[in-house]
Amino acid sequence: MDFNKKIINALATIFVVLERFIHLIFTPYKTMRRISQEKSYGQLLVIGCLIYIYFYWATKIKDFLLPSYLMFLAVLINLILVMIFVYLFFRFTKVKIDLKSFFFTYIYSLLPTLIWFFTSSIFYFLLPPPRTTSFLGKSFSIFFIAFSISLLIWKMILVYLSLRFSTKQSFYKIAFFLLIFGCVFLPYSLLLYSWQVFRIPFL
Amino acid sequence: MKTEYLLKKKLKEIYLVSPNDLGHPLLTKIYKKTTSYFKVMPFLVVIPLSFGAAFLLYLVLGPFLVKLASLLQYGF
Repeated sequence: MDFNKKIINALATIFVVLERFIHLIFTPYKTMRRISQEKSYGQLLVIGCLIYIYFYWATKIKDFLLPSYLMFLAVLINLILVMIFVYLFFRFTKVKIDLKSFFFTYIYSLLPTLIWFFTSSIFYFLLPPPRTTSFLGKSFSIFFIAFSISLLIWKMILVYLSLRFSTKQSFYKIAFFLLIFGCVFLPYSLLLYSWQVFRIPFL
Repeated sequence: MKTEYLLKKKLKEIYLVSPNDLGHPLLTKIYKKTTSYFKVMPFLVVIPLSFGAAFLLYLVLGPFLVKLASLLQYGF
């Protein structure tokens, strides 16, 4: 009986996460506002599982330096580093931040990148790079870049809303934070790209 | 009683953050107008914008865009 209840709870949590994912596509503002008041850590576990599934799938179709579980561990370390950076930045600028709210909204904001990595891995499997300068090669490149830009814009919207609801700060302060974060994040991403672990800072 | 509770909860959620003020009425108006497109169904704006940007990038960068797409494909 107790086991059945646990199964039902787990299924309900998965359903809630999927529902939120769909709502983040159609009503990102309202959904992020709701997520910022979330308390159920089970949802984060579901997203964590999705990230692990991605790593497992990616290592099956391409060789990587690190096995899937180590890449997942690296993502967790990266997440802790982001949390510390955000906490220190807002503490330094004397802004009160709801870390729990930021934690939930930030993890949900990983959805666009997770979709990008999943889709790119499928494209890698179906249409292996490098692309050529033929008509089809150029057309696919334009499509792929447009797809990447659209997910990047969506990601930026979600990250902005994540900071907006967890710090309750104005546009200028959030934009300033994102500028500083970008200055640190870009060299860090390039460094990880050179180590063949490009996806870590984005997941 | 339940309706009152739900209404209070909803109002609390709506007023979670105060409206943004960019310091100048015109800037605030532009901000509100722009963000309204991204609050509900953002992909109606984002998809045409992305294709426009990708095509513009192709016109500016030419074959480099193809290299960029390959580079991103390797990065998954």
